[in-house]
Amino acid sequence: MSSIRTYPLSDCIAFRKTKEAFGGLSNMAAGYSLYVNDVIIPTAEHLYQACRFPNHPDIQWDILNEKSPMKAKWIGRAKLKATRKDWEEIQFKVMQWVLEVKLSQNWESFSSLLKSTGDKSIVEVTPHPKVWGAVKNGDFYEGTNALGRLLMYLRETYVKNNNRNHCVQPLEIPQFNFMGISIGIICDEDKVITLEGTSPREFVFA
Amino acid sequence: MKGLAQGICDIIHDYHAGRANFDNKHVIKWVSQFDEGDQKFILEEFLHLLKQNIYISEKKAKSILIEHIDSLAKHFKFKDTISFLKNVEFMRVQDKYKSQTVLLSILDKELINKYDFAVKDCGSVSKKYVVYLDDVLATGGTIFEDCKDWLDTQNEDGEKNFDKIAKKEKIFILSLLCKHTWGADNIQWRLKYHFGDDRILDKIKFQSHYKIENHPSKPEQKLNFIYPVVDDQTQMVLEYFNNLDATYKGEFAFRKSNSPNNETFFSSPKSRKRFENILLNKGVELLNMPRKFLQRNHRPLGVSSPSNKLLGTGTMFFTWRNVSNTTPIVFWWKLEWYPLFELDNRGIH
Repeated sequence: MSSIRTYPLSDCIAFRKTKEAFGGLSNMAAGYSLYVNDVIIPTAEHLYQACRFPNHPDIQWDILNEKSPMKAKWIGRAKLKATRKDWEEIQFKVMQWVLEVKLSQNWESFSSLLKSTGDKSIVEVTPHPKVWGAVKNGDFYEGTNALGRLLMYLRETYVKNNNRNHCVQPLEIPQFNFMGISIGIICDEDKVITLEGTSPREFVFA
Repeated sequence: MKGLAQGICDIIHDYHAGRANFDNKHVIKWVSQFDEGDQKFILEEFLHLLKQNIYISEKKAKSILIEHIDSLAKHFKFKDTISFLKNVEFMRVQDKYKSQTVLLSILDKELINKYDFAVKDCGSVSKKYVVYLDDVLATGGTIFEDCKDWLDTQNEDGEKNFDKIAKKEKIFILSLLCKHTWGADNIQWRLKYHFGDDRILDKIKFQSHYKIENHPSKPEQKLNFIYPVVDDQTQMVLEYFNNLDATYKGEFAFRKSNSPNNETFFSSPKSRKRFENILLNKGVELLNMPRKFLQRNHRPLGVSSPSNKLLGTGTMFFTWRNVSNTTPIVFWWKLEWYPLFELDNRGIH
């Protein structure tokens, strides 16, 4: 995902900050927590950053314990040497997986937000050229806009046809670990039958 | 053996308020069901664990309940406990034989003794603080259901309890004798998921006398429960595990061999491994015995969520009132087995 795209301003849903109307599209937006290997993760950004360090649960834990997603990102950047070697090759796949988990586990709120973007192009506006977003250039946004494109992919694949994905498959990459444990299939709570109704204190056995 | 058995009796003697008539013969009869070479070791190790306050007597429970209320009053900056209680509502959602009802009844007597103030007099000024009392939060299934129902309930002003909690107009407190860290996280996530709202995540206040650190993904957990490693497991255990009719969380079934970092619960890492494997193997043996019915949540190391491919909750915490069936089944199983702790109100054997 590298080719530069151009989007007319008038045909875009653009977001910069989490507090804006479409701020929930940002990976840094609060209110869309995730749950992987039974750990509550504050934002998609926290999870994405943690995925850089599959063999360093200590760094992953530091990232998760940082309330601010921006600071979580800084922790990731400060530990560049510990980043998995194939990160550059897999980062888009990882981001797509993170966004699919975010959508699956926050279906009502996140799918509504994506739906409300209609057929417009989704663009993360960045002040400087960056692969994840696009910069304003006159009447256009220009850039790779990788995040915006992944969000549009989610909108087309899952949201438009109400095609909810209850279980997100793990990536087929080596060492796809989180907090020392391999990441498996992630199903939302509707899929998981739990003790509800047959609580530990109420069973009858033969 | 007799001395060790007596040591155990001295700690757990008030189980079922003394009705169990524990004596060292009872303990020896129980331990005699294990392999002869393991019996002394089991008593030694279990006594070592019991000395770490994993058994709560009725007397201890009384003091904990009062300490918890006093501590909440202080935490929320009330001038005294009675002022706090005037703003408290205790939830009553469990049946009369369940732990919540029993604990509320004990608390009532203790409050009258200490403060001349009864539970029925609570909430006369406001019902801002809602307290849910219970003995053990294990998987969190029961408490989640109770919390969910209460949070979904509308107040007289038409606003749901959830909104009042989110706006901090009400404070919800889970006051427990024991909580499992994994179960506590599980409750929070399931509530967030059910309500589709992250605001609930930091709003539930947990208060617990004893904490079982059993979260499989969090660092530096004490692992003060039964959590065997996969290495050296018998063919019988591996076959049982592989044939479990469950889909989820199999990756958490066994302890990482290098954990915990520092052994503070068992007498040594070696003893941990031996004790865990004895309980696991015997539990599998009991479940493998032919019988007509077996609940899907029955596991060798105690009841667990039926959909989870786990060997059991492995709880090592006991109270005088009734042992949790999330403890390894060797402690309470009754079919072709003599239990150390008999269960009350658990249906027909």
